[in-house]
Amino acid sequence: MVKKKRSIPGSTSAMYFEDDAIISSTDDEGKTYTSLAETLKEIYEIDGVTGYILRNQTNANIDMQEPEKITQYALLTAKIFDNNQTIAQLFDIGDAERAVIEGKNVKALCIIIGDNKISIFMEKTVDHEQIANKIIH
Amino acid sequence: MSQVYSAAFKSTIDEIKKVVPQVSNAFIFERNLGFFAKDDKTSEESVKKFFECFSTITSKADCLEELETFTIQGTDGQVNISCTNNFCFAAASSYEADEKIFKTVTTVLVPTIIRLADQITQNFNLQDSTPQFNTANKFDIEDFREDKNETLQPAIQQQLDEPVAQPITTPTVNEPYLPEPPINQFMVEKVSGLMVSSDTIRIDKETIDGWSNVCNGKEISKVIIEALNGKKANCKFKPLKDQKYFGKGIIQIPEKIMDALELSKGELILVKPVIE
Repeated sequence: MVKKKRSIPGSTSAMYFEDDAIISSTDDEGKTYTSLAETLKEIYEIDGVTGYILRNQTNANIDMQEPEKITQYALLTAKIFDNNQTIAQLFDIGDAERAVIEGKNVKALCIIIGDNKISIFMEKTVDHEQIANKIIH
Repeated sequence: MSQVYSAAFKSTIDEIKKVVPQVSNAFIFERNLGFFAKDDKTSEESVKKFFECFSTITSKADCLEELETFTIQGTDGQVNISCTNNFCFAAASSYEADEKIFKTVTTVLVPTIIRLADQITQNFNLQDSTPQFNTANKFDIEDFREDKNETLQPAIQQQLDEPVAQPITTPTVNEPYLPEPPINQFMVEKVSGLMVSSDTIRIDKETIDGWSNVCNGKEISKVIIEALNGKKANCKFKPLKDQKYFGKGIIQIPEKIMDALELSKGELILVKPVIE
């Protein structure tokens, strides 16, 4: 059996695969990530959207109108993703798919698609349902 | 916590579940996690675990300025949390719930009831002004503090010897009537620094303004702070300076007073203005 070498963008070492099935699965994940990244770039152009963070285990894309807020937003959404599932299980609502947190003037939409975690930050007047539909479809 | 809140919130929750039967769990809690009212189906254990998750999230939510709502959508239902003043209402429901009614309840009715309860306890004379702690539903705030291993320093006798409270005189024909001073509950934060006066605490300006309104412009230069262990102190006060504490039910207390009252960071205390 021939071992094939593939490198994953953003990873620090090459990974070896033994059959095509694993390669195609990894390619699919990469395609999903790339597709999401492109969609988020389009969403970023919408009036009122102030930034987004897209990340999975090996990659991250960030765009933010106020770069000084990246760390704060990243920490907040990380906590949301960490605790979503626990809260969902506590109250028996199935698997947590998305969360919306609203403050005085801004809100954040957090969605999980496979291994990808997407956080989009926007003014409260923006229709977050519309944005969520763009990502999911 | 006043029994007004306890009774009002329990009734509210029960009625909400009647109006929206798809609501499976509902409870109302105070932001500093010291009090809650819940429906019969929700267990204390669930609420406690929820508090751990919620406090983890809100500890990083300063970038949003003031948390108003938080919604988690799952495959089979959703959990909605809406926050008003110092309280938050949490409800879990299936997607079969009428969206309009549910939204009206969570974003309009419940916040209105919370504001009304706040107003009643602040602006009206209560028959029983002694604080009522609903100890059956009150978690030990120690469980959620970051510095659980903080050791308490010995009490300072000088602070203990200070006069505790100015007696409130019974109104007579020749004396102007003094309104019943409102009692507020806060969570303790330590304040330190070279410029910090050791006999002055810091409170939200909104609270100070509220006292002035209730007391019809009477001068208030001191407050009585009372710990849960019953120890009291008479202190001067100033408005909070640090914006991150505004509107969060926080009181900043110098270390000397904390030691005298055997207080730790994160504990709850009662504060009552001394009307002169």
